[in-house]
Amino acid sequence: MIKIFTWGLLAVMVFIVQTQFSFLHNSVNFTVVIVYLFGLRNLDRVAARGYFGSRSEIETTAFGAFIGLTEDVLLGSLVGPGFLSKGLTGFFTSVIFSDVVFRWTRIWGMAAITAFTLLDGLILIGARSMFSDLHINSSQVLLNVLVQIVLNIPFGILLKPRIVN
Amino acid sequence: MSKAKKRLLILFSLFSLSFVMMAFQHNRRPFSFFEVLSYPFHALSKITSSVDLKVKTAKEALEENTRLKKELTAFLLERQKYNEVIQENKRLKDLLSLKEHELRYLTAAKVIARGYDKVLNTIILDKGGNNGLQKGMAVITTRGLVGKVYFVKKDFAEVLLLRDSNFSVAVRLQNNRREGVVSGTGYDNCVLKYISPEENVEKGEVIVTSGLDGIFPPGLPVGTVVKVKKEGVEFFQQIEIMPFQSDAKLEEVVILKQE
Repeated sequence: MIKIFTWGLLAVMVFIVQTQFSFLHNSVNFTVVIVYLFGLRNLDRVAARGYFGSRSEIETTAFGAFIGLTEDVLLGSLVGPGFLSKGLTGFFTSVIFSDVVFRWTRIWGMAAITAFTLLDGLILIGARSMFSDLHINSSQVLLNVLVQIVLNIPFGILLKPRIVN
Repeated sequence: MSKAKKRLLILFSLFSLSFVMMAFQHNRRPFSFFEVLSYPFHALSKITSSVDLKVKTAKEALEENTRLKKELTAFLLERQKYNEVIQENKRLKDLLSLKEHELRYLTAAKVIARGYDKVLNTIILDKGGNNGLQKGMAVITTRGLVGKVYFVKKDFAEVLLLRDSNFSVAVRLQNNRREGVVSGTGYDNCVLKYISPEENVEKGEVIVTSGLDGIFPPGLPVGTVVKVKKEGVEFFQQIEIMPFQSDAKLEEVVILKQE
């Protein structure tokens, strides 16, 4: 219960920061970071058990999806892209660093956060293009995503699992 | 179920759910039932916006206040300058009128400093021998007698003030027409000498120069009687006078030629 409350509170704070602040007229994307962090923290629990279980993957994916869904609703447009991208972020975070794929290092952390931020942007562009009639200036969105990546990279370097395998 | 299958199932669920949602919304309004999720954030956003607005307003007010204070200071300084110019203009006009009425007018001068001699009460003028100033010339303002030129150099001159104890001038009581001598005391008031006890001198009587000393022209206002003491005196009354021109307010003066 405390865990849910803590993460909920953290998510709310991130949403507030995201809605109130911008960087060089570009919106920030810290929700990716919080989902990533949630994934990393779940990783510890799973690593302690000696294997990576599906329950943890479901939890992380669900958390990411919920955060994405809330974000979509708050944006007031198409509901779904955030749900998918944040869900994938949660899922892949729990998969890539705990299985046989990668061992967590700062470089991989940086690469992962870059990939997740980019994935988030690309899914948003793709989904809006496919399911919405609204015109999207893709180059502008990509530039925005680039700025978001630059802002998120420090988190990729700094945030690490408690137990680095 | 194997690990890989479970993962595939998670991914499949995620994709299918999101695609179903997005496809459902195609060309429609977004799901309204999800809006319940946004209520707390909207409420929070309202509060933060309100706080933000207040902070912004306060910040703007502070900036405006600072700017207005600066402007006000600048305006006050400017007004002060204008006031100074107006005052100067008035004084110079007065001096000009003196030039028109006083036949012995030589020149006008600015008081640039108090005299450096600690024993004497003097002032320094910005004009000197180059402007025709000579020792002993009378120095006046529109109010009255100031003193006499005491020391002259090429570009400046020193004036011995009326209230200095070394200063004396032949005077006359304006109503009484009785002659006397006004001497400085070193203080604000001067004394009127050589008025016998039989003379009736009233407080407030005006004293003007008599011209009998050959230095000051007759009729220059000197001061008014402020204190008269007849009792207990042997030969002359003790009369105190207050000069019309206070040397604390001297800025421009006029120098009169000697006859």
